[in-house]
Amino acid sequence: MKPRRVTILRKGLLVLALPLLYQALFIGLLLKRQHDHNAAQRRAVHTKDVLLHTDAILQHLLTSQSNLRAYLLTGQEIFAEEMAREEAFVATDLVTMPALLRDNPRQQARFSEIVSLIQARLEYERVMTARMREVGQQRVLEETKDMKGNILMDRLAAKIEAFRNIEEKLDRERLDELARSSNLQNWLLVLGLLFNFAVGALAAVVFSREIGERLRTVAGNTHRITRGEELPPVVAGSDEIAELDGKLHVMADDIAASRRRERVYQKTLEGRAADLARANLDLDHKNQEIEMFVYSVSHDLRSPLVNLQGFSQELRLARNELGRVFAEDFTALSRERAKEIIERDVSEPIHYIQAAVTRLSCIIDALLRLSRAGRVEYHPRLVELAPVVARVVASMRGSIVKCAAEVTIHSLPAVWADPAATEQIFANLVGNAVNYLDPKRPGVIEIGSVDRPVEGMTSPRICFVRDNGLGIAPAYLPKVFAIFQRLHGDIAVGEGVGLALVRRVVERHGGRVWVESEEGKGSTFFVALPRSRETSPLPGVAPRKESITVRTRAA
Amino acid sequence: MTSPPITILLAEDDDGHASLVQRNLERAGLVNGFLRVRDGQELLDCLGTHGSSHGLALHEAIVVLLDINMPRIDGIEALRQIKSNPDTRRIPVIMLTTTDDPREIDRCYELGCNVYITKPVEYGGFIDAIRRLGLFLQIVQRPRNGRA
Repeated sequence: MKPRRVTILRKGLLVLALPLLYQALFIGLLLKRQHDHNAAQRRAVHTKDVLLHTDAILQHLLTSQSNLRAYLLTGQEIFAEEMAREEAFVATDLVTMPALLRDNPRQQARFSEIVSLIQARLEYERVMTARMREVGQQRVLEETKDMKGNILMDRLAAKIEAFRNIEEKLDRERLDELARSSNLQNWLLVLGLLFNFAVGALAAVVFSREIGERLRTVAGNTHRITRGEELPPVVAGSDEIAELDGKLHVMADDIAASRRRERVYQKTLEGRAADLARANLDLDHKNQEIEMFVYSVSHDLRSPLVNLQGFSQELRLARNELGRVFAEDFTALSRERAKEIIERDVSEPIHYIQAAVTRLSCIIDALLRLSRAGRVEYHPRLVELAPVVARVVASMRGSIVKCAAEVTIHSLPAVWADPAATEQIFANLVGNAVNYLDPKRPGVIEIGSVDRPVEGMTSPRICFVRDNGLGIAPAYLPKVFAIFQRLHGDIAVGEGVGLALVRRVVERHGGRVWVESEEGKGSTFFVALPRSRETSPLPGVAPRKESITVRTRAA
Repeated sequence: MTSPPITILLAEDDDGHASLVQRNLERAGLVNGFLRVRDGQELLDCLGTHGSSHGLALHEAIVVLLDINMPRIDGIEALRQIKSNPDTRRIPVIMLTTTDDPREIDRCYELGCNVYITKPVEYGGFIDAIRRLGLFLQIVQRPRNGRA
């Protein structure tokens, strides 16, 4: 069974009940006092009654005694009659007295002694009256000389006096008792009142401490929960406050548990992020290493290439010289022989060596350009693409006119990019479009912009370069942007590095490049670039002048 | 009009490159004085001692052709030392190297090189540059030397 709960209401009722209880006792005490007073008053009146009656009896007896004497002395009947009337009064009083004395058996006993004396006295008077009538005054007076009547009367008076005294003493005792009792009651009242105050105050203190302290603890607990601190044990008791605190503890445990979970997630997340950052850094390093490697390899390749190129040129010049020398000084036969050697055994190798050297040189240059695209510092700003594309197209006017292509430039947006890099991008794309036009139909090249979402970019600016050229077979589409991929190797000169370069440059700008193509109909290359600094991964730094290969400067 | 006498001082560690430079210079008629050293240290020694070991006199017109990648003292350091020495800083220096890194080029111009040429060399432009430098040198430096 559930234990009985001590709720705040019950505690409050208890605190209220204590004074109420006392007040009830207080009223009871007052009522009792009232009652005691009434009883005491009744008893006092009663005692007065008893005394009154006693006095009356004595008075009547004395009067009757006087009348008897007068009768005996005078013999007049009027005194006898008077005496008989007095005796009748005494008799009535004797009837009332026992009722008054019912509450006191000892006085009752005493009174019955008095009654017997009274009856003896009355008997004496009757006897005397009778004797007076029988034997006459002379004899009766003789008989009274024994003083029997007086003695009887004195005894009676003494008895009544004693009775009275006792009754009065009783009355005094009762009054004293009443005074003591009311005194005690007064003290009790005062003490009770003080006790009531004390109990009330104590109850208030206990109540406020019990409730107030615990409420403060609970309020403190809510703060601790918000601050994420450890809670003290649940407050004692079984009331609403304890219940509330218990629920707070449950809540705090829940919060602590979810905080712990959160910390675990956070830690995991941080760990993952750190892994990712490390992996990224690693990739970055690898990329840099590769670019450095490509750079230094192609750079180192240049040195022997210089010799190859230079000396093959020397050989060519020497052959020419040799040709001239032979033409002047030798006989016809040896001239023919020498000419044959020069033409077949020297010229052809020189030709191939020089072709190979040229090709090698182009490849190395391309490699260097590509590796530099990964390393060069960009200085992005908001670049209007329209003038950039116009410049690019103008610089290619020669080849465009040669293949009779029509180039249309639609409206173009501004992008957040390095100006030189944008020129590089469009030079490659437009150059490709011109190079890979289909000779069977007039070339049409369009440059414009579209608006569509791009994965991983927020509101990008997208431009396209569309041609109606040879197009790309589906199988080759994925390789278009890979380095040294030349799909139409026999058609145009190039190192197969242009689109790889474009991709590298665009991706370093935080952009994307992709192609849609149909073999035999044409290709469209798309370039998505960031629209503003906020969506660009490149830091904005002060621009630096671009260098050129050969410059002269006055000393 | 004949070319003024110019002493060309080539600092180059690759024999082939040196030979090619010399051949092209000779073909262009610039044969008056050609001297080749193998690294930056040798070049500085040569310039520091002037005529005594190599027969060069201070009043002679000198053009230095300087490769960058060389053992001991490389071309950049040699350039820095030449251009920071009051005795030699008027000597024109042509950087002649395989490096076309823009940062490297900028650095050379900052240090005071007069021309920067990337190998493989387009010899026409190269010879032209040498001629111009030589001529320029004569015009500017002759009167001054005369006064001295």
